[in-house]
Amino acid sequence: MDRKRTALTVAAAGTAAGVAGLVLIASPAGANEAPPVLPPVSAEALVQSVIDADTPALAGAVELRNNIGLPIPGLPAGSSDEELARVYTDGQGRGRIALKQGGGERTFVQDGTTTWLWNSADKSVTKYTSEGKDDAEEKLADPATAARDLVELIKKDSTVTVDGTARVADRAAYQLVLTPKPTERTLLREVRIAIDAQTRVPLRLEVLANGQSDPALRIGFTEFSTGAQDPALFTFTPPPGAKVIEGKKDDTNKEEHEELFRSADLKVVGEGWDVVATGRVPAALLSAQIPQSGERGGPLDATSILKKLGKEVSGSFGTGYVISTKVGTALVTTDGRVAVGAVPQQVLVDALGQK
Amino acid sequence: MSGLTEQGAAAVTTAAARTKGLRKVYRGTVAVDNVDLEVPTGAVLGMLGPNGSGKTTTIRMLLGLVTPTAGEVELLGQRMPDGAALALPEVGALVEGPGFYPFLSGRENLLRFAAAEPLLASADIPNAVGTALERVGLTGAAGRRFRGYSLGMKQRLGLAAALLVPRKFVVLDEPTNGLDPAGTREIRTIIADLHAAGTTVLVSSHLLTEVEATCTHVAVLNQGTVVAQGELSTLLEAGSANLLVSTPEVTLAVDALREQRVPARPVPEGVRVDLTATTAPAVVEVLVRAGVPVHEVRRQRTGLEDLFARLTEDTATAELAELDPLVTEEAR
Amino acid sequence: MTTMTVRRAPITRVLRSELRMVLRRPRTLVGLGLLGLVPVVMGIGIAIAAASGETGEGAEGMAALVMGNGMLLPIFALSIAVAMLLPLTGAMLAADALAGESSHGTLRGMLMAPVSRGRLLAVKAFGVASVTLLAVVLMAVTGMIAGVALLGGDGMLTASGTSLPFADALGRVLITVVYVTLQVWALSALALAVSAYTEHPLIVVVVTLGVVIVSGVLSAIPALDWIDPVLITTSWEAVGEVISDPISWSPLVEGALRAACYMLIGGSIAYSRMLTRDG
Repeated sequence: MDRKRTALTVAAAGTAAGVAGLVLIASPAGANEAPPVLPPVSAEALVQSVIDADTPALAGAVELRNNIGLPIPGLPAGSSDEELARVYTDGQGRGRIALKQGGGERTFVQDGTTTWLWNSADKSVTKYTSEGKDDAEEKLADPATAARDLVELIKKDSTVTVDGTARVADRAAYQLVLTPKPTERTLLREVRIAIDAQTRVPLRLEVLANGQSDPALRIGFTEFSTGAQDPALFTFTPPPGAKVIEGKKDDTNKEEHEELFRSADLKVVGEGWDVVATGRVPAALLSAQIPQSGERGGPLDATSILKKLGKEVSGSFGTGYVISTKVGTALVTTDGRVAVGAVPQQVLVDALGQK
Repeated sequence: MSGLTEQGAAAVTTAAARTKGLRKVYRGTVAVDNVDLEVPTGAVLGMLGPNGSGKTTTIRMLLGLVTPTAGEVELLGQRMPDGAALALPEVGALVEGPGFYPFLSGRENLLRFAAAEPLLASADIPNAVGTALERVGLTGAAGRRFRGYSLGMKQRLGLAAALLVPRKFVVLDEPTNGLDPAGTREIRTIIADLHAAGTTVLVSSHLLTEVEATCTHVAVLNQGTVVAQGELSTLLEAGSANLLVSTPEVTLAVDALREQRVPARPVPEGVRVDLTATTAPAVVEVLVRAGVPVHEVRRQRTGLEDLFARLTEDTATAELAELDPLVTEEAR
Repeated sequence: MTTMTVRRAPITRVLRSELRMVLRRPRTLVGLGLLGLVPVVMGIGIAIAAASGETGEGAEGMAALVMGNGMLLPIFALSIAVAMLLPLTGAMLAADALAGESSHGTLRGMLMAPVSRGRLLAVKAFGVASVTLLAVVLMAVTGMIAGVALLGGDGMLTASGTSLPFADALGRVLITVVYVTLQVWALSALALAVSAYTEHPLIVVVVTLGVVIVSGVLSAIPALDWIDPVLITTSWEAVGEVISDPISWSPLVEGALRAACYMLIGGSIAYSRMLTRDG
């Protein structure tokens, strides 16, 4: 039957085209394109050019893929890319970052003199007035030296190479790869940084764990366009009806933090990729009740969370819980000692033993 | 039966509709098989058949609503279903009970279908709808919702929809369903009017009197195939004539005839003799020789119902079955 | 005979007639009425909450912003309705358009007029599309009226903390209307495809809502995240982008393209079935 054949053809063609369209929408731009051809560059020169480069005026969208194997509160989990933020800057220190949060938004606006922080969930505006230059900026006063120092520092424990090129956010980029030296006892295989060939702005960071073909963590631009931005983006007027909180310069916070650090007995053991941070949490915290948002279940105490996420272990350190992810491990002992690092469990145990 | 078809077709020059080797299988069930139907132009063809004989399926294929599994359909010179756009504007149909929107009034329903009629100019629509309603006697109830219509009113509205535009061909599937005797008479009048105006009409029915009263041609369907078709008068003529013999010696008469291989059977009035293989004088001669007192001999023509009953019954059961008193009704 | 030209009823006349019929169907009218009430009821609820001193703090996303921000009410209402109420409306309309009419025998009447099968599908799709558009516009209008009257506010406070003048706010409502309508059309196209296969309208509604629910469940399973970008429900979350300032267009464009793909799939399956279905 002619009609039957026409019908089948239409159904097959239409469905195929529609499905192809859906798949095309689903796959990120440039995913199947051949890597761009760029002039070769050495790792040192590449790193230096990144430090040398001034951030141009740009607008972009940043996506995060968290495939660590442990949900991070406030961040999307799972293997699909989720838009995290949209970024705008005029290249002269003014900028705007809009963070998506569960249908709401947090917006940071740096208008040159003031940093505004807007939170749509409670319609609040926090205002920080900045004074002078940051310390970090002074440290980087001599980019060439800084770059050399940085590369030297990294080279002590890692192999730094430029591993071809990639297309990120539809832009040609160099792939800078940091691989731990064989002596490093780490869970990580390598860290890849895609650097825009034209502006030398890092476009994407990927953390790859041992035995995993997909990055455990990926943060990078999905849209990236340079060019002058609407100046209105870099101003902020608190909307009527919003609470405006005068934020103070971090001084008090800093003291609080330092106090916290002292009491936590924070120490760094080792260096390079297998660096382990150890510390101590007050035992009280382990049994503290954490109020839980949402209707299900009552408040949780820290120990029950540990039990849920981790595995009970015992050894020279006593007993504790180990939380393992693809990129890192944490060990919390029942007497409150903590060790965290991008390393296997044994390295954490060793680090605790050094105390 | 093919002889009958040729005879019927010879009377007219062209066919308004024609099917050839039509077959439709629904999920493994054969609904219609090898249907060769011919509707002569200008004829009123009665399509007879018991329920489930394939009348509606054949009509739906004729109108291009259903694609045949095999075979060909020609409607007003167009191959169906592909020629539907050319043929159907000239065709009005009432198929499988009228389909209307229950929440619209009768008039609104007709306006809706009129809007889709290719042959109706937009300006003529209100007039055409009014005329159609008038013709089926629904003018008074035109403003009422279809939901509240009686079965007969629904049927009339369906007829009105089929008659919105002057047609070349009108198909009516069981048009008298749910109608009272007066309504049935009106339908007959409408069919007669259509016939007079030169419109070809195809009426399907399981009511024989209806067909006999209004049709010029007949097609009988049974178990999905056409078992007879042709001009009504020819069919009745050709239907094997009987000789009714009045005699008190019924058993003697039957035995005598059967001895001579002449089919005969006792009926309340006497003996009925089949004349297919013999002639009336021969029968009388046999009876007289056998010493059967013959009071009266009458030639008896088969009624349509008799024909229908013979055609649609299993041949095996027909031989054995006692004749239904209704079927013995005389035609003339 | 072969040189005869095909005569057709003027398409505008048939479309008008279709629209008149769909808008006379009691179910359509009840559905439209209820949808129009949704933003009003939401507005009253929010106004009562505001009057009793609640500030909307701690509410999720858009709900936190809508107090005292009347022009956001239509967008808020549409973003909620697109998840269930509007798909239900589209499924119902599509179910009546082919399955329902087929069971009433009215589809047969149209085919015998004759309206060609392709045209008939186009006419039916037009009916469904117009009434779903009408439903979305109606919600936007009652939402704006209820929002401005009950919640107040000239212009619109965006999720990014900027204040938009009234004209821009109206533009945002318009973008929402267009985007939400496209999404409902996409689902209605699938429903129309199902509708072409059956004579039971209820089956169409059940299957279509099944698609919505299964999509929702699939998108909630982290292990199946890779399937997210092709799910019809994924686009619905992007409605929230409308209240950011500046709007990030890419999720909206992506969602609209996804809707177009679903329309193509649903439309071609429905057309293929219409060609062969028995009238």
